[in-house]
Amino acid sequence: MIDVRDLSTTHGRRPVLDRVSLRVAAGQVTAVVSPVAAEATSLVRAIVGLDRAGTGSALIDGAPYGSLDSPLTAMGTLLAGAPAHPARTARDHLRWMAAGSALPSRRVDDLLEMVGLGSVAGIKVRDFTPALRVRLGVASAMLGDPDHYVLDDPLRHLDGLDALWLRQVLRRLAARGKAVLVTGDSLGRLAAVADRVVVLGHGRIVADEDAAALRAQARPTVVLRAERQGELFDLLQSMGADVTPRLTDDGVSLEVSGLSAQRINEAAVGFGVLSMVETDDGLADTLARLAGGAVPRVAVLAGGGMR
Amino acid sequence: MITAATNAERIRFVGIRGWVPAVLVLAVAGLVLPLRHALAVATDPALPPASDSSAMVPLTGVGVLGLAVAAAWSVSREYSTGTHDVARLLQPSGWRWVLAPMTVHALVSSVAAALAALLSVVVVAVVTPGDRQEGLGTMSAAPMVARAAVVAVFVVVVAVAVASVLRRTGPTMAVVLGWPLVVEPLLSGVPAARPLLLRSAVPTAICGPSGVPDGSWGSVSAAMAWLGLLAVGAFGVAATVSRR
Repeated sequence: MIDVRDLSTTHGRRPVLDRVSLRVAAGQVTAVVSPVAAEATSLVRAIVGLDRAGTGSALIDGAPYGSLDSPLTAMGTLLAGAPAHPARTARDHLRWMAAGSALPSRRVDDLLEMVGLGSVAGIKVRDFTPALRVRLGVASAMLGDPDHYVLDDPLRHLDGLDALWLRQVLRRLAARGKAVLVTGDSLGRLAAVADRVVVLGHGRIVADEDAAALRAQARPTVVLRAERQGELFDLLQSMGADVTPRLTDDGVSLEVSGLSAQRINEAAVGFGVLSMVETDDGLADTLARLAGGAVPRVAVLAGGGMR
Repeated sequence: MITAATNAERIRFVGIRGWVPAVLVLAVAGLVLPLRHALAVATDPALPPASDSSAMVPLTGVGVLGLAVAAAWSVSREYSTGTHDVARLLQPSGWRWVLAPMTVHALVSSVAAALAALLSVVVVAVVTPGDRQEGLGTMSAAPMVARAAVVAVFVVVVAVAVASVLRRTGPTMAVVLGWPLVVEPLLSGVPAARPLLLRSAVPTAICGPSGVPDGSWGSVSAAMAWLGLLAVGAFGVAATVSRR
């Protein structure tokens, strides 16, 4: 269990977190959503000891991160932006991490295959897309096969299949009894993967919600293209969706809203979907309400994408 | 666990081809500049004869500075790319991640400096005519070669410590380059400060006091002790800062 008690942090003299208490239970994905990136990042960095807590503590199975004998086997961490040296290959990055924590490097190639980087393992990180960097970061977190995970904003650069892949990874970890903490600024995207959603506002926990209830409220906006677009247009309209044709670089796309993501997915099956991107998670207003006005207006208008 | 950190640093060093600057220093300070010096001595009778000390002048200046810059650049890049944070996840103890790159860079720089010193003597001895040589030979240069290796360790430790404290490539380069190229020339006008300067201590520690313009150390061991003291102090500061 990851146990955060009365944790307060500062950035310089500016307070960031204010007496945050949180327990991340084994077998669950707990999402921490904050419209202000610095708050979630500060929480993650304080948990792993990179930022010093002003007051309070963060314990991993009863011990602070800094006192762990072999931290990577207790906690898998993905820092914001998935940092890795740009001049190093993906394989060398993992070999470096394994050596630095005295772990055998035989898992490296297996992990690279597992996260879908087997074919680019010898390519330097500077040539990676942000999505590939996240995959490398996830492999790094899994290197020691720990029981706890904290991932700072991993969904930020992931769309479509990459986001789906990460959701499946997180669900599988939880199913194996791992305690998973994942952060981000999109309530809809995190509610889609989490069991529980904690919302930070002005540095404090302002809501602690069941993710399933939030998922039921979500009405995302999806832009999709399909081979039989006309028929799909008619079907979605008949289901009560608000469907608008849009001219894009790839041709005409359909902008769909008013239905849950699951219903849009189900409806599109069989129409030869060419692309499908969620442009608004449909919960920005909910996040604004839960965060108690902590969300800048620009973030609400942009669907939470303020980072 | 310091062994693990050092092993990881070795992988990092090889992975980013950190040895390339050492090879460049070897080529420039051990081959190109000594060759230029030898040709000048051979063709210009007004110049003093070539010696072990004169052959190593490029190493004591450009060579040592190049090794320091390369080490400081490499370590500061770890901070600017966020990789240092990942390193802290592997082993939360900060000083290990100061000591590990120091160890690897110092080792590589030490070998590069010794090879450059040896090569420079060989190049000058081969190219310069016998009558234009004075006290030049690999046997007589052996103590200088050994001292060059030690001095490289001290200077690189200081450079890595600066990078570990400043943590940004720009300020680190400003200090590592600005100190010998800007600050020391200014301070050399102050007689009291002159012996403490690297531009005086480094050549004295490697070649001895004779022939060093600002050399007022009197002995190799005193200059070597001063550089060692600087290195220990710099490591202490870096280790202390890294614990914050």
